[in-house]
Amino acid sequence: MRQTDNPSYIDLPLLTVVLMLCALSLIVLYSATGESFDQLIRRSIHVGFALVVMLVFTRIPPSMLSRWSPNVYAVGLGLLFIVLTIGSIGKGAQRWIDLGIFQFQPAEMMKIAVPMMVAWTVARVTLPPNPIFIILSIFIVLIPTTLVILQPDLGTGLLIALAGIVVIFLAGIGWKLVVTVLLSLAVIVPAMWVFVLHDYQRSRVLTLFDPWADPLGVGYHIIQSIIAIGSGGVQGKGWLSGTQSQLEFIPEQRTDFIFAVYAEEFGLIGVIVLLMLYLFLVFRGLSIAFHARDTYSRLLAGGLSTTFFFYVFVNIGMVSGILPVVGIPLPLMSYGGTSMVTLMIGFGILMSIARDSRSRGWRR
Amino acid sequence: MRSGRRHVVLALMISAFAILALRVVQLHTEENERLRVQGDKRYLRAVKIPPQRGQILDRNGQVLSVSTPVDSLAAEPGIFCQDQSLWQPMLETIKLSKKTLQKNCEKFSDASFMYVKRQMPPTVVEQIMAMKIPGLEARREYKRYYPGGPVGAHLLGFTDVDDNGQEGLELAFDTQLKGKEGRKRVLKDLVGHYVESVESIQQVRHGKDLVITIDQRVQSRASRYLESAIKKHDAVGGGVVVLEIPSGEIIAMVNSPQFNPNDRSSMTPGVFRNSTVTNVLEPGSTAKPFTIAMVLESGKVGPDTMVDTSPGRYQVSGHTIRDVHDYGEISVFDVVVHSSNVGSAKLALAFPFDDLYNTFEDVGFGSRTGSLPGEISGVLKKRTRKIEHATLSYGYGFSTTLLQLARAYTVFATDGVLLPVTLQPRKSNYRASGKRVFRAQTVANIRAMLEQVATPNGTARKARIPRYRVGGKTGTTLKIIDGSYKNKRYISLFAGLAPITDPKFVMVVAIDDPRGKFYYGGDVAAPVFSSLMADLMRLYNVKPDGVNASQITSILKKKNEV
Repeated sequence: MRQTDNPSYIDLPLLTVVLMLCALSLIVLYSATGESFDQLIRRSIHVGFALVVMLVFTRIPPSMLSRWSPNVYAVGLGLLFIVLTIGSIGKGAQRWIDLGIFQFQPAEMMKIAVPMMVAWTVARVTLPPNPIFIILSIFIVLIPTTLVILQPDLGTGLLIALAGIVVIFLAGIGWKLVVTVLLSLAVIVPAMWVFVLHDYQRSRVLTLFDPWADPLGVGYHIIQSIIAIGSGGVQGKGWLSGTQSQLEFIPEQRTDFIFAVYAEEFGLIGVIVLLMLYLFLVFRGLSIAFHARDTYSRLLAGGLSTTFFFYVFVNIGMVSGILPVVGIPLPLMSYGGTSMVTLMIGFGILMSIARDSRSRGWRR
Repeated sequence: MRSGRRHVVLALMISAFAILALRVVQLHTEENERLRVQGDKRYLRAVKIPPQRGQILDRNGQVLSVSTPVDSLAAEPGIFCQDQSLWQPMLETIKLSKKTLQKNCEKFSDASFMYVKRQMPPTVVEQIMAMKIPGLEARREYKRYYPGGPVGAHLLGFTDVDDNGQEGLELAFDTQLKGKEGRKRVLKDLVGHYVESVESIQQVRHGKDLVITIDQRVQSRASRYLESAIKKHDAVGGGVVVLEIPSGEIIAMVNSPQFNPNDRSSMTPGVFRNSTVTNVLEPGSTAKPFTIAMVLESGKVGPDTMVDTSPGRYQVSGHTIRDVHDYGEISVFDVVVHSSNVGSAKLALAFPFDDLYNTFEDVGFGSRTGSLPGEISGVLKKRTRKIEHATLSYGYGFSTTLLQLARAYTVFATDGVLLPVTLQPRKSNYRASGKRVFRAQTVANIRAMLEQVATPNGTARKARIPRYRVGGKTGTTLKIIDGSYKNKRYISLFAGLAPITDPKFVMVVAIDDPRGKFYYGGDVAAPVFSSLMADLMRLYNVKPDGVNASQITSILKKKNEV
């Protein structure tokens, strides 16, 4: 059953699970907002819009993406500069560009643009890339990362760095280098702790280790969320019946901590199902990467899938109290328009790559 | 992508997800119980349900003291004090300074509970709660309200801010009135609002009402007449006690100076004392009828027996006993009517000391009535000196409360029986059984004397009331200030009953330290008796006994003409 070059082809397993998660997010959001139809409708519009964007990207062939990569990257960098300049004129953090109809976060765009650029750069040579390209790639990653961290938005900055580094790693750097990087991290991290991190960031890390030490202060968010998760039990308290969430004890329960609401109401069974869905998305993405036709597609698909994996891992890890609170939303579940669109672009690209490779003879 | 890379990546990812899954499994199962308890702690609160304090009602069901619901604002300092940005509108509404609140926050920083402001109208608190200030909660409480204000305040007493009885009946019957606090478990959201009640831990038991014998209609009139007499005669205080016969019920009991129990700021210490039972005075001439009754009881002396009181002075072991005038040789009857000290002393000295002492003891001097909290007994002691025997006969050398004096007069209002007095309502037409002190004949004689006192010939013509025959005895005793008698400082007394042919009420009036033109009991205290007794006759539909046959026929005639 070969569907060569069928323009309407779409990766159904991937689409199905994405749609399932979107639907689930609406169900959970309805509960987390205290049964607000208003927010439900707004969220539906986000989801609908993001799906349309995704469908658009499925139509863009990887070759075209590859060609666009430097331009997209350059525009993103430019926007980051603009944002930073505006930010320094006005006081405080500045992350948004207001386009009238909607606001746009250049840092969000870089989550896609950086892996694209790194993949484009590395794909120009035979793998594994020689050190010059690796250093070049690292610069490609570091420049936008620094700009975003300066906003200051440490969480997003690290995610951008991650998205780029993952692609470099997938491109196949030597193990020696990996070990060297890890060792230097062991030196740099303590140094960062002292010189770079803000107090609030440090306290976030510290409470990770013992949130119960300061239950009313810095540990409050984590404790509330752990309690919500743990009190759900195996079967959960049932939809709209989570006491912690319905009584608004969970902080940021529509956004970063929505997993706690979900876990309380749907219990361990619900959590396992959710983790399976995410794992499926990640593996499907990686599968697409393995079967991709060219290096660029392979690296980009692998990078996007891995980044997605990290999002899920870091968010659930943070909400369940094994990672510090760094303010990363749970992909597809958390409320928030921009990140939703970014994610869907990612899935759009994955589907486009899948379609491309399928038309070239890949069958699952 | 190299295939080695693939496997590493896949392995890392699977183990990462496994870690997440294990963590969630751990939270959901192993730590579930602990976290569930922790979670419950956050939103389940056992809250106290304050019992509503019972009302105090008068004999006619009129409310004398009632607890009205008020709301207090309480806060969990740990949450409430963190964020002060939402305070401003609240502070304006409840008129509280930010400084005070911040100070409280500091003081209670380690506590899990503090009051922000207490006892406000529920509508105001509702308004505040609508502001959704985190950590703030409303608590239902009750505030005691006394519809009569100062009227009878000494008797009723008052409660503290937590509605515990502090003085008077509020204190004496606190257990009955208070009830028992209930507890229930409620759901609470993050901002401290009770969402719903989950279960009742302990049913609240509201306080029981207390019905007392007081008649608020009489009480308020007594208060009014007393206050105006005090004002008129420039006195410092006074008291009125009214007893119903034959039930022995206390119908009215008022004191002055007054205080307003509804306004705690008006209270000064000491003003709360129900002086009709906590202060003593010497009864003075109001004790003479008991001396004379004792003399008559002997059978050796009759009302017509003559006593020589001239020249208005009488020497007893170096002390001089004086009368206001020289009454010359007068009958025992007139000894009471004119209130002759000399006559009383001579008559008393003709009998052993113990006869007088036992009589006074029998009419209840020196022993508590047992009807009220904080009551004192007064002092009646055996004396050995002759002068003490003499002065005792006209009411000096022992002390009594106003209530005791009123109780003592019940022997003349009945046919010689001392009635127990009470604040607990009896069945209607209840006849209290008391101890017989005098024979009925003796009482009839004394009543005739008491009636004569309240005529133009006696010392208390101002005690008279239209259409009823009343009787009583005046007293004007020197005040003891710091242990010695003070010249020209008096307590003006009147103790009386009405109607004299079949007494329904005993009343005692005391005016403390009248510094105006008048100070005799007949001028100062008797008018209060007259006004109040007249009201009592009307309020209780007492059959007039002071209307003679011709008056009745003229009334009937008028009726027929109409």
